Amino acid sequence: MGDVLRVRALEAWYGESKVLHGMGFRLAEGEVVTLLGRNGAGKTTTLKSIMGLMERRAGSILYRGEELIAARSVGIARRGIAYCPEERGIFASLSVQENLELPPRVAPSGMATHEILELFPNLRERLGSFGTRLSGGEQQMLALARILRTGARLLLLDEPTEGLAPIIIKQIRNTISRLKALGFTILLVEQNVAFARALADRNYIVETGLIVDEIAAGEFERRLGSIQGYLGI
Amino acid sequence: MKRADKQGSGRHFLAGLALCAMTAGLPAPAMAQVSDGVVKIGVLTDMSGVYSDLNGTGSVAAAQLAIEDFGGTVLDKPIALISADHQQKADVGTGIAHRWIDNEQVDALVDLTNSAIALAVQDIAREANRIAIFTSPGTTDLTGAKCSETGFHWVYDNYSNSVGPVKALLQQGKKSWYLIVADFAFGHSLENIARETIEANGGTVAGAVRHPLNAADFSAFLLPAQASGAEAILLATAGRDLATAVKQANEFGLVAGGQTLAAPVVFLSDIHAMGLQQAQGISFIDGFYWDRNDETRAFAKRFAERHNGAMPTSVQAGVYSSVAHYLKAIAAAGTDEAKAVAAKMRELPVDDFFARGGKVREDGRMVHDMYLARVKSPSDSSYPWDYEEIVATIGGDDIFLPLSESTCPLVRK
Amino acid sequence: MTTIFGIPAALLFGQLLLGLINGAFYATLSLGLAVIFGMMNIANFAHGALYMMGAVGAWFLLDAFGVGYWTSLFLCPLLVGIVGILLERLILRRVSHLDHLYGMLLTFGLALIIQGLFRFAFGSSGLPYAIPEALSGGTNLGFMFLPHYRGWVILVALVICFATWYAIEKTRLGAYLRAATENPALVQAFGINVPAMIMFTYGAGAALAAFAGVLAAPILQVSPTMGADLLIVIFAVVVIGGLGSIKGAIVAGFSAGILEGLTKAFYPEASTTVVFVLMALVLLIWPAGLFGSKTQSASTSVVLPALANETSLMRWALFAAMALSLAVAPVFVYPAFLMKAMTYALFACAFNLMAGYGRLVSFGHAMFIGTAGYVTAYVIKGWGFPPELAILAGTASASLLGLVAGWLSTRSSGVYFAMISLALAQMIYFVALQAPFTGGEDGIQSVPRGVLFGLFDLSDPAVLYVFVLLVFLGGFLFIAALVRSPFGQILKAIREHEPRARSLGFSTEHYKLAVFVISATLSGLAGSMKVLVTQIASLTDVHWLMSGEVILMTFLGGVGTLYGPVVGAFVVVAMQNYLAALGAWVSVIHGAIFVVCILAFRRGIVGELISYVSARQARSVAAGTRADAPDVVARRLKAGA
Repeated sequence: MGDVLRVRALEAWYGESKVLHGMGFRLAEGEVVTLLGRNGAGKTTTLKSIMGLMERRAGSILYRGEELIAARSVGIARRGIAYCPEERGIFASLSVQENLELPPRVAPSGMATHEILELFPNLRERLGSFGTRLSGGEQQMLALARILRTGARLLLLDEPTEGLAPIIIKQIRNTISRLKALGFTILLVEQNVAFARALADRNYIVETGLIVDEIAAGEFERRLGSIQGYLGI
Repeated sequence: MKRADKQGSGRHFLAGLALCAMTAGLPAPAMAQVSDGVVKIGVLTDMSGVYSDLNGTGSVAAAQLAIEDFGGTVLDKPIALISADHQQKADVGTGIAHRWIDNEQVDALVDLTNSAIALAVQDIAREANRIAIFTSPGTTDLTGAKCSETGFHWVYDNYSNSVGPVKALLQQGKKSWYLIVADFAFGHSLENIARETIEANGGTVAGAVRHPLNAADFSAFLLPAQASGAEAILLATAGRDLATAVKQANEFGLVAGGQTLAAPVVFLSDIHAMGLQQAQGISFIDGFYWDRNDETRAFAKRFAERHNGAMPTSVQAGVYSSVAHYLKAIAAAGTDEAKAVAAKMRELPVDDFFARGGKVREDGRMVHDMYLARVKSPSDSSYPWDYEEIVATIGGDDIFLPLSESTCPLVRK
Repeated sequence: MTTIFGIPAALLFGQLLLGLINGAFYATLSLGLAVIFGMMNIANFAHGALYMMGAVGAWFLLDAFGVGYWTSLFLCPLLVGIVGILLERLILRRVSHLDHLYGMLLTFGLALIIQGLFRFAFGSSGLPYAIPEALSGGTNLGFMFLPHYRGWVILVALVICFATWYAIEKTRLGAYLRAATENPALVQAFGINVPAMIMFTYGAGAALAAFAGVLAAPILQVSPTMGADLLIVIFAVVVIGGLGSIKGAIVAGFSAGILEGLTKAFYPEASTTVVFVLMALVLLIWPAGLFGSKTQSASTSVVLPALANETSLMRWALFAAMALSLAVAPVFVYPAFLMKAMTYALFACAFNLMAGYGRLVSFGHAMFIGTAGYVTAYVIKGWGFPPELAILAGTASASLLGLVAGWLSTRSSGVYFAMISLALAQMIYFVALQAPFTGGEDGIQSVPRGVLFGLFDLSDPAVLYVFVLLVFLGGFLFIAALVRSPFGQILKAIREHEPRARSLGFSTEHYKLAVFVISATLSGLAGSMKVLVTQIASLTDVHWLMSGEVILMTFLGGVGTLYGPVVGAFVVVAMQNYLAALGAWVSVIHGAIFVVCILAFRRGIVGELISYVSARQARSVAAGTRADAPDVVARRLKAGA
């Protein structure tokens, strides 16, 4: 069982300012791994780099053995990686159904609409509404739901719990658990420590564009103090 | 000048030298003199805009032909031709005119499309003492309030072209008129002349409408014309606007419904652009038609060879005629100084394929026969460019504004 | 016979029906523009040329291959659509990552080239194209005679409008388009090839334009210039509807047609101007148009070219060099050309103040230079003013106009700003055309130069030259000083990121209005001077092509640089005068220069020079020890924010 994703010496720039200074980490098949860190640490940038959404990158991103550092986002998506951005990216001028059915199938394991709705039953009543009419929680559900359509098996999720009420967070946690049970590999960016602890197999700590620590699920309790220190809680 | 033959050249040379030495001290006027050693003609025209097919490069070709036919030299000096496109822009046109006079030693400016540019050049030429020959613009001011000793209006003007067709149709019994007028000075002046002529000859103006320039759609202006039931509709507009109006008049059944179209400003190039199907039946005045007789046909054929097979419009033929006349006048005057040449241009009759028995009046108006024409129907046309049926010839004195009514200061003397 | 407001009822209904038909036509033509703008955020100035290609194509197919109308309805849009795809792929794509202004200018250049080439190939008079047999003739409706073809137009237009609306709002492909319009990066990240979609969208827009062209060929006069004047009307329509809104384009198109129809019934001379009045009114109430939702970006990624280490000595040396060369130039170059170039240079510098440093690209700047010119000419000729008072009067009139126009237009930004300034300029054009004192087509001619302050006789070419030179240098210095002043710094901040500037407490509206008025005033000064030099004030000076010329001059020379507009103005005026013998090719050359400039020398002549010198300076300094240039620091802060 090889790694699904292996990142080495990843650097990235916004214009002239360098944000990632040599990130290195790995994901195995079926794992849920989190990138924990403060605001501005470079977590979102890392996901965007993997997804090919950064203008300038350097280093190595191996996906199932294939080098993706120079690939463009269209190609990366088609290889089976899906991205759920921090701002959720629900299209305002599309209905929920259209949002859901937008992503094209890139692998045979892409779910049909009815299958997705079984995982996300709340969306069923909202199919006809337009993207912006949904609550924060519903939008997050929709954002998660639609990437399942593609058939991508590696999911990059950027702060899915940001700004949501605890009860919604619980729902999202359950959903991601189910996805994990279904065999998806998930790279999760979070600042919510409890959430990470509940789901992650391993956790990386990101600080100023570098991985500074790695904490397995088993060690979480013991290392809680230092984790909170890193995040400045 | 023939070269002296070798034998006895030495003595001839000395004799010649002596003669030169003796005459060097004499006052100059008696000898032939040409400023800057060349007679330069500048054709300032619209080569890229809506009127470019009417003059443009064709005018340049016509001038070139005239120079060549004249022999290429006058008073033993070469004749040069330059041209420029003023792009219908007043300041570009005047800028070029100034530059030609200041830097390029141009002696005569020819063609000068666009009334605004024409009037400006009239002033410039008058001040700088150069010849200006207007073949293309229509404004009657050129021989009216703004006339000039060195300015000549050769082919047509707004008066000749409006009065002619209006009078002719009135005589045919079309008494009620509707006027569709281009909304700027040129159109307004046509409208005024038309109204006066109609009312003075027992007709009535059922209505009039002014359309903005470059109106893509004339249907809204044709509608009231149709509704008025007027027997004749005067399209006081030109170029593409005219073509659009004519096309749509057919589309809306005005012509089929019995209303006659008259247009003051129609040229051969316009008919070509409209196509006979659309333009058939329009009555207008033309200053020249290429197919009128053998002489005109001969010129037209030579012109067409130089100009993509297109037959000359009256303006382009006018350029030939006026340039030829200008060169003749220089030869007769013995100098290319503008006032002297201008005097000769008025003195000598204009007698060529363009105008038989034509003459230049004091106000600078070249008066010649014009032709009342009607556009042929497609079935009547047998070969390319067979477009016009000449209905009548109208004598120059009858068709141009009488000298007695002229507002030109030069005439008052 | 009943009359309504003095017009017979039958006639009025007739005009309304005609207006409706024209509106259908406008709607069809606007659709393509709206689709392209929605997708690419580019105001496609080539739309008129593409429309023309459809019409001329129909004529050509008939003339050369005997292909009839019905086939042309499919074939022409297909062919022009392919041309559109090629244009996007080969040319437009190269600027897609830049400020959308460049895309707009690029399409403007392309339009000039296409139009010029077609004019060269097919002449300007027009090409005959008949109504197809099956649709000829008409029916008498009682109140008017309706040609069958016109009825067909309205039917087809409705079908196409509905089909396009349906395709975009109700189909999967339409969903892709709408999503890509909102967030192209994310749509790419789903695995959808957005660049390909953009390419086909542009092609579809082009095809729609060509379709309208074939539709127009039997009733309007087919000619290479048929798209030019129609283009600005269509832009007005799309802006009224709201840029990017399909529904808006359709509604606005029909409304514009009907409004025009009404105007033709009561005051026909104004019919080509009324759509601009409507646009101005709509934008006052709905700044984004009726259904518009696209917000214009309030920031720009375009960095003004600047030398890293500029010293006061360098600046003065450069200025002295320019002043000196202009002072001795008359010995070598025709002085009238130099003077004219200097007045245009001042105009371009004034424009650049607003467009380069203020990021307010106006498409109506001609109204200032033209109005001042007319006023100056009139007060000299009609009221006998001495030149100094005449210049004052002209400049003041431009200033006043600038205040009014600025107040109306600075509430909008980006393309809306450009369009509203165009609308206002069109209205000024209309006034200039109609007002008796302007002399209409003739203009005001032979304006005497007079005696300045009663001492200096301006008809002496040497005296005039010195005067023009001094005024130009003075205006230039003023602008240079203004740019470096606190006012100028704030302006630059607003330019880079307006909301941030506002959050710092600056009343950005007032600053924008201020720079607008200053720009208008200096343009007016240029206009007054121009009249003294050329001695003529004409409609050319208020025509929208003049507005286009000053944009060309500024961008060619280098927008956002001090000397760029001067260089650009001299080059363009030189081309105008010395290439005049080339006739139809002038327009093609202008367009080609525009295109090459945007593609390759985006920063303009002077801008590229500055960048080159800057790069060399940077390389020669040891890495790591130099202080970052202020704009680098700013960008880093912006990226982190």
